[in-house]
Amino acid sequence: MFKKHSVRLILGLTATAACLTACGNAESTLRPASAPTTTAPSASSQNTALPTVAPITQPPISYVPNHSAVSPGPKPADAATAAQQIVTDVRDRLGLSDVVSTQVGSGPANGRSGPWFYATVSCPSNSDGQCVHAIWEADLIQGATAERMNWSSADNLANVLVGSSITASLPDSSQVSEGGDQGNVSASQQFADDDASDAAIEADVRNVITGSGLTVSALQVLHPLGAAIYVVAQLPAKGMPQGETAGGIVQSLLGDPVKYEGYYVELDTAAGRPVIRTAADFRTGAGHLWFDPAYASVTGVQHG
Amino acid sequence: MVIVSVAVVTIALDVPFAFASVAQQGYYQINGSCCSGAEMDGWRADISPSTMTPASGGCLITAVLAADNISPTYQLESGEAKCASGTSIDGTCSTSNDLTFFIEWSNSGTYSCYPKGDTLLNEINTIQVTETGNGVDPGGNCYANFNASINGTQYNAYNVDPNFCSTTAWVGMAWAEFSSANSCSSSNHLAASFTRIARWQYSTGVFQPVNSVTRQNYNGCISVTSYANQSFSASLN
Repeated sequence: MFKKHSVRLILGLTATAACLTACGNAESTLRPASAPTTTAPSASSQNTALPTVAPITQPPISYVPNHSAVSPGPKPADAATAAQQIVTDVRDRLGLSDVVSTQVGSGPANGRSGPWFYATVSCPSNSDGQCVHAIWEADLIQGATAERMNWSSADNLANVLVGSSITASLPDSSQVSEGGDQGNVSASQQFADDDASDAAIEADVRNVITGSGLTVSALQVLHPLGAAIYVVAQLPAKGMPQGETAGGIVQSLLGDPVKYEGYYVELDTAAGRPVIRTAADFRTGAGHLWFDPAYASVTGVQHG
Repeated sequence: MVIVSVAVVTIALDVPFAFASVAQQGYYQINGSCCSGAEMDGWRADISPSTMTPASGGCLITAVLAADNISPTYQLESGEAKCASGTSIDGTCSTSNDLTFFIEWSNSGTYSCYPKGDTLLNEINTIQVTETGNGVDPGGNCYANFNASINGTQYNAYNVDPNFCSTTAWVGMAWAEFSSANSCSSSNHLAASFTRIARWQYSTGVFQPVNSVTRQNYNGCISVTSYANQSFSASLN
């Protein structure tokens, strides 16, 4: 981690004319609309053939020991249309409210060659991790889409969808790049609770949260392919219980082997203010972490 | 003028985070102050960790980074990481005590990690984060894209600078880090070499040797050798 806050001190020490006119030192002073890293190709530019993948030979990682032998079948003649149907189907089936649009298309000139996933999501602000939930929803769609597009039975999902670009649409109509990528992750991972009922999963989640001394304030089970959990929990008035961390609670929720293909866990103060947001999708390999600095010691998850 | 600028930056970088508990040491350059005004649009290093044994609750990292130095809302880093059992980077990188390649992009305080496959100790890996494009989007907003590349494979493009039109003050850096609450634990063991360190020139598309650097030293637990011949070593015993 580069000490970003320290560099901000430079603003105070060496405020130059250029900086005074353009830099800004707080989120609110940034230009309202920074550019998306890449833009999705227009519908008219779509070809029926998906771009050829420049394969990665680096072995993928697995988050679970078991893999299924299920294949989506042979590659259709009109793969581009089929890919778009898949991503639309996954999005519609999940009914994720924060995902505005999704598309599979060719990548940018400066990215890996092959099919890319594009999503536009809606979130209230780019500060305080308020886009983490929407980005996670896009991750779920991307991961499930990659599995269903794996017509060649690739062992690495980064050789199916090779990259992604997620753009956040903010209330002031500006758009902000939220990055995106496809990790080198094994295809066809079987998560332990793939076939569990929602009721059983919800009971399991409640047991872990209450057992950690927190209160469940929102809970939802999603089914991109297997199960994914959305959990909002409230801390006690005294804060995080002794010996607990967000990372430890997530580990208890996931179990071993990992039960879910993804999770979003938000911890709020007793007054309802979010202080930690952590999310992951184990098909894309995308992991996200935001925390209120006052709660850094109880994240239990590191960052670079 | 250049000397003053570098001195100020050194002071700023040595001011500790009020809340973070990490140890890190390495070397960096800032465009405009590093190289007599020469262009610096990213960094490259060959990194070879020979020991990576993180203490409980933390992660060891060897990496290269690029960020907009003036308004560092965004940063892109890539390298190798190994976390102790029970923790990870951002929930998906090194989740099982594995030494893994990673790319982490941070945006306004949100960190996002993508694993890029596991690796082994004593291998020499070429890691680079370099500018690959810039411009103005249809809304009139400037941007600069950077890519991370691991052993020649170039991955996603990330917006690193939303203020590209007004400033091109990049920072490039190579360093070793232990990230956790027990950064100086005697259970931490790291040794890594950083060689062939170079700065990227976007306009010419070539790397230039990095000969002049500033040391980044936070929390003192990690040691680095003097910078010489585009190289240094880091250790934590």
